[in-house]
Amino acid sequence: MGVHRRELLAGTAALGVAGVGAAVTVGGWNPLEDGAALAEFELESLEAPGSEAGTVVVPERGSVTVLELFATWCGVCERLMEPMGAVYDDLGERGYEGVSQGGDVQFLSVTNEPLGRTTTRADVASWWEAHDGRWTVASDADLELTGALDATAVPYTVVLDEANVVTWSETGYKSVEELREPIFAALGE
Amino acid sequence: MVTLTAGCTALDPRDDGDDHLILGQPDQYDMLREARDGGDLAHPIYGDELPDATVPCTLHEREVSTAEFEGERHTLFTFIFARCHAACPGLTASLRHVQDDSVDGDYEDRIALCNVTFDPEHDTPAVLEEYGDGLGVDYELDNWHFLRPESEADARAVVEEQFGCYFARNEDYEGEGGGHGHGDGDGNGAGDHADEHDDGENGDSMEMAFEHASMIVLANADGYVERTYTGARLPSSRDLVDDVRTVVEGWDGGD
Repeated sequence: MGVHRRELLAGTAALGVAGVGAAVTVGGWNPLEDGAALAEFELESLEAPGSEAGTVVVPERGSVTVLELFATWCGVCERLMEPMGAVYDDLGERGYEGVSQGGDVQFLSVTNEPLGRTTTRADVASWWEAHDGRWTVASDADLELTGALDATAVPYTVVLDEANVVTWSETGYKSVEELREPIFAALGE
Repeated sequence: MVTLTAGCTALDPRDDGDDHLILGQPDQYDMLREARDGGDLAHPIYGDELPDATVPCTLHEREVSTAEFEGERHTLFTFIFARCHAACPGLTASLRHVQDDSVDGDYEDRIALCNVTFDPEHDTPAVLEEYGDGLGVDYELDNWHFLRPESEADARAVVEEQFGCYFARNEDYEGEGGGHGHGDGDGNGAGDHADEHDDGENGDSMEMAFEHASMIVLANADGYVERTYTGARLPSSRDLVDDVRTVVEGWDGGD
């Protein structure tokens, strides 16, 4: 641990002692803190395996939504595709007939990369196919969804309940079990 | 210590009403300022002058100095190493988002995006260019700079001492092909979470060659820092683009 890191930590401590205000809140609105429903966003869906070119509304009111922000340059996102696929096969549009909810689970992966100038929609489709994607994949071209979720990293996985309230969100790799648990919680199982 | 010039009355750029800054004060600025002035914060913050650094730029085969952008371009700096598979690609991608927006907003000639490596031994010009290609960087816009200090000592002088961005070699790192993990020094959730599960393709080690702080510095074309984003203050790409747009448009409207 270097000198500057200690200085930084000391600085943090000093800020704490100064005691102005409560915990440092960053990046504005945190959907997890106020329990408000996330607004609906209309995103461009992409032509890719399991996905049709058009528009998709997310989150869908009335169903649990599993939303993953990703990027094609992101290695962890690649590895997350396998467990996401397994959970999708189990709980996605074809699979789930919940006892208490009886509804579907909306699965959606969203890249927020700038598309069209260097990285293209075809690049995303190729990536999607190479990693066995088979559900809807969309683009957050204007970063509105990214901003609303205050997503500062990818992969960023979010579960929303049927009222579109964020009930769980985490960055990084997740196993099948780690993904299933918050989804079932949102389903009320 | 001060040289007065006609028409310039605000000597302290942090004073209210100052014309060196476009953005308002960041959250908890008073505490940050107290920590910074007390020597507890290693990095420049809102209102500080951009560090005066000169570093070779691999894409343009010349030295780039931070001062050369004064009066010309607003600047974004971030600090990376190309082998990093956790926080760094996200930092670089954030600058790429701004680069793409600079085309939409017609300000590509008024922004400089500077990606500074602290691993010059590994990050040769070719490595850096390929790294940028993988993240969709558009070199033809001529506003992207890979800054590569000539040695690790030079990197320490610029990245850590001038910009206050901590980095350290990871002594447990086992070398090339050693995996994708990350130290806990990056302050970035993605990196930390990724580590715990890294059983990656390249080996068993969960370590990476460096641990480091994640930091993005936004300075205006007068050479004053408008924002330093680090740790929990890292912005979403939306927020970063919005801040840059505010600076660009405020600058245009303020003259």
